[in-house]
Amino acid sequence: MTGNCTGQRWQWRLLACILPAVLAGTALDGAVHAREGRTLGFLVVDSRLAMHYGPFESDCPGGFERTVEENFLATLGPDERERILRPENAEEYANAWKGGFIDGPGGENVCQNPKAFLDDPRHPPHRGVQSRVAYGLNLDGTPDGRATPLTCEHPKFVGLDGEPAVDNQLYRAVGCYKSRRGTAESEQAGGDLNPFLIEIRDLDDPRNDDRVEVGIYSLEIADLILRTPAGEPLPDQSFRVSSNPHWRNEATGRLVDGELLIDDVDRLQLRYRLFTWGPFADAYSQEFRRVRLRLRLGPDGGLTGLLGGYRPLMNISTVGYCCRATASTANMDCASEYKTFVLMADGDPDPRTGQCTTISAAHRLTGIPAFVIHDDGTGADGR
Amino acid sequence: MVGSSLRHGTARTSPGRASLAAGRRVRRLLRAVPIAIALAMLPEPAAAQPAGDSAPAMRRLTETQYRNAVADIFGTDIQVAGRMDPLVRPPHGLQTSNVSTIAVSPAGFEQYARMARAIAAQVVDEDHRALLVGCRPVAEDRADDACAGAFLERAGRLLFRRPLASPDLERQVAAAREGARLSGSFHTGLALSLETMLVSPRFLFDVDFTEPDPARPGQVRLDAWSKAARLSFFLWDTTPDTLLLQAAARGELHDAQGLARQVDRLLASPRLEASVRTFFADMLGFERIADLAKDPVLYPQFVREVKADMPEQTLRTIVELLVREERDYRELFTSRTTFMTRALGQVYGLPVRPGRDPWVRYELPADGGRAGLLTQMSFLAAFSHDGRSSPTLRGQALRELLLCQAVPDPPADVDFSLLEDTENVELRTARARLAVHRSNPVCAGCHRITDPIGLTLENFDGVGAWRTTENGAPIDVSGELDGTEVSGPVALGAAVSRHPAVPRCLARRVAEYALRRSLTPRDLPWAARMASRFAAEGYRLPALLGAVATSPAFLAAPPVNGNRTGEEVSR
Repeated sequence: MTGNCTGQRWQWRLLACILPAVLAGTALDGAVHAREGRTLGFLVVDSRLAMHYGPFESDCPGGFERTVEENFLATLGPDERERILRPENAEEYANAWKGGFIDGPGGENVCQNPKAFLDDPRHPPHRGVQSRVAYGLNLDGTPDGRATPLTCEHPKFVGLDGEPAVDNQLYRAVGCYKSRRGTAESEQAGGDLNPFLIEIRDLDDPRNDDRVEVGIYSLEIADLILRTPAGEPLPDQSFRVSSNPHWRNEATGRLVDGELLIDDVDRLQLRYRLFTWGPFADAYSQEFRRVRLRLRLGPDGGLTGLLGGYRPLMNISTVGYCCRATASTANMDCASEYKTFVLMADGDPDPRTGQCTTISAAHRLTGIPAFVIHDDGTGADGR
Repeated sequence: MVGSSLRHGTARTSPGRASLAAGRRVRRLLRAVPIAIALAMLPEPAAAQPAGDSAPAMRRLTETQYRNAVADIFGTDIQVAGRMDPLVRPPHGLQTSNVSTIAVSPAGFEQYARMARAIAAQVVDEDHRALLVGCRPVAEDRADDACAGAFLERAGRLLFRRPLASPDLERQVAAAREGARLSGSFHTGLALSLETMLVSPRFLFDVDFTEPDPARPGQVRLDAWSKAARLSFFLWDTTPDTLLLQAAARGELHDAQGLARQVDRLLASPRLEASVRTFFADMLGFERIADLAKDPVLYPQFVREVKADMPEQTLRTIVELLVREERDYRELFTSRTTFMTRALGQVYGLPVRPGRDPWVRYELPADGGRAGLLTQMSFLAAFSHDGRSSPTLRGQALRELLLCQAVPDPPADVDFSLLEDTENVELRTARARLAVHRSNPVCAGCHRITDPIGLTLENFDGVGAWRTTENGAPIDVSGELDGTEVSGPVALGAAVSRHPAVPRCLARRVAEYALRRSLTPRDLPWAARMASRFAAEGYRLPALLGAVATSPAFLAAPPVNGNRTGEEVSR
């Protein structure tokens, strides 16, 4: 593919006319060599779990799901409940729910090993979202959620854009959970992915192009994100692609009326890092299977859209929920949550048991222009 | 330690209030002694006299020179915490030239005293004494003249940039002895004596000393030590090293060949870069950047990292092109070679691939609209307003900093409201607003010499980011530089590189930097001659520095009775 030397933007002219010539000549130290064809880069700065905030009484007619503390109280009779909640019994109360109640017989706790509590009735599954509209993509290809070789039978949602049968069982499972949903969209907590990179290569026409290459990468950890004093990430920063091959994912896609459609990512892994994990911070990935993306390129050079895919249950229940404090301080009942995931899982049935091991999910993505830099010095022009 | 010596002297006094009071008296004395000794110390070297009576004969060390000297003499791990009286930039001159006229304020002297105490304490502390003091006292709790003398002789030679005369050394040893007696500690006494040297004018100021000139009976010349200091502060921005002092001791700096050898050595050293950085930071007015602020709503990309990197980018570019590659000075205004960080890249809109070093050498794209110093943020952002670009400030800066031309300040009663109204729907570009502003004849004269230059840089906003429109209106970047029509920033750089005043101005600034004082009319012929040498050497900066450093005028004694000039000496 050859560049077009008549573009209006100087960056575009630079990419199309000058840098290919440079590629044929000498290397340019810290400068970055362009690939053939137009290349766009983005830093995904917002990747929140796609929670649809419909009327609360419709989404969650039973109210919020119970916290681990509330599950503890639910195990008590009225008299005992009244007694233990008296101020003079505060220490006993705390010890009871933060101690014995969240521990299993082997010393494990509900967040460290939620699988161990599958048969413990004190940690019941969530009721789940009851309404029918949600963000999501049709991941199994069925109109009604019937079982297929790769999926288990499950109910469908209607997409926000009216698409009749989208999958988002993760939303159904956690959409009424306080620490996931919050009380308003702006307060939504949990479920974000770490910032990552998307690179679109070989782009001829940003409106309609029957084939583009797409890279989805975690960024090199040393490349910190510069932010404004208000905390907003700045556009046009350069980021190196992670040197860890697990976090470098390649795909192809096509553009239809300005929307980028990607349907062939069999497995997507992105680094998940919490600084509080210290030396283990880089050991975790967030994993998706059979991923689809629907992304729209904005006039400001940014990108918005949806990422959908199936997430392994234990990947969700491990990443970010490592410790006792997740239950005793964050007041999460990971055992109830995991049990809900098992009940609502709709992907990748175990060939022996038929039990599905992954759950459909969706994330809303917002990306800003960025330069994506590869090991060999090639990269995007970011615009 | 102090307390323990007091207990010896007052054995019958019970501990408590009396001993505490005595301790305070000793501590006060210890604090006062260094200053008292230092003020008594501007003694004459054996055969030299402080020189001159009309031209500056003392130049205060700049903060950088002070820090460099301490690091060179005692090591980079000696912390120097404190601030010095700021330098004031004289009109149309270098900040550095202020060192020959500035006084030390009482507050400034207190800072020197604090820094001296802290430095001396570090030099003799247990971590450093073995290496820096270099000898062990006979006993830790009392004076040892031999050990103190050996250290003070070595330190004094480096600090004062000449050997200590015997009476001076004896005075320093006596100070160490008295300090040890009062404190009951050899090292405390030694630190006290060192402290006196660190607050001495002979350390804090570069003082010219002269001696009779054997080649010209009845005339004087700078003595070799003064020449060594002048060379080192000019070319390395620090105190002379041992080799230079040895050359001075052998009298080689009075001999043209010996002088040339030392100048060549100084020019070949990587330490030349430090002085080149200091010079250009001064010449380009980088002190503005420390206080630079931009409207965070309009320019969110102007973050702390960018502000820190922008002067560094320019200085790295200058060192790379002019020192390491010895390119023609004029290429600074046209070269696409620069250095970049990720932080700068997001303002320049360019991809940056950092390696282990966050700074990478970078070739700007050929048609990216940028080339040369005038298209770097250190110029564009520094000479803009908080919320908008300024063709006037940019044009003025170019004339004053790079062409050595003076642009008058605006009258006090000018109405700037039109220029500041960047949301004016009728006058959407700076060009349109300035055109109306220039209709005021009071303003027109100056704006005619600044704006046609600055308007060619209007593709860069108030922080130096690229743009092609302002408030939706296309930007016209046509302009003019002293009769040459120019369109756009790259063309401006090319025009500047061809302007005959540009290399002449640099030669003049280098002359000013070398002398560390403002040039007088009588210096100008010498500066002009240096400009000619610069041209003859292909506008290579090291050649210019070498020409100045070996010039008789640079190493001339200050005029006596005002009847002799550098120019006359150089004939």
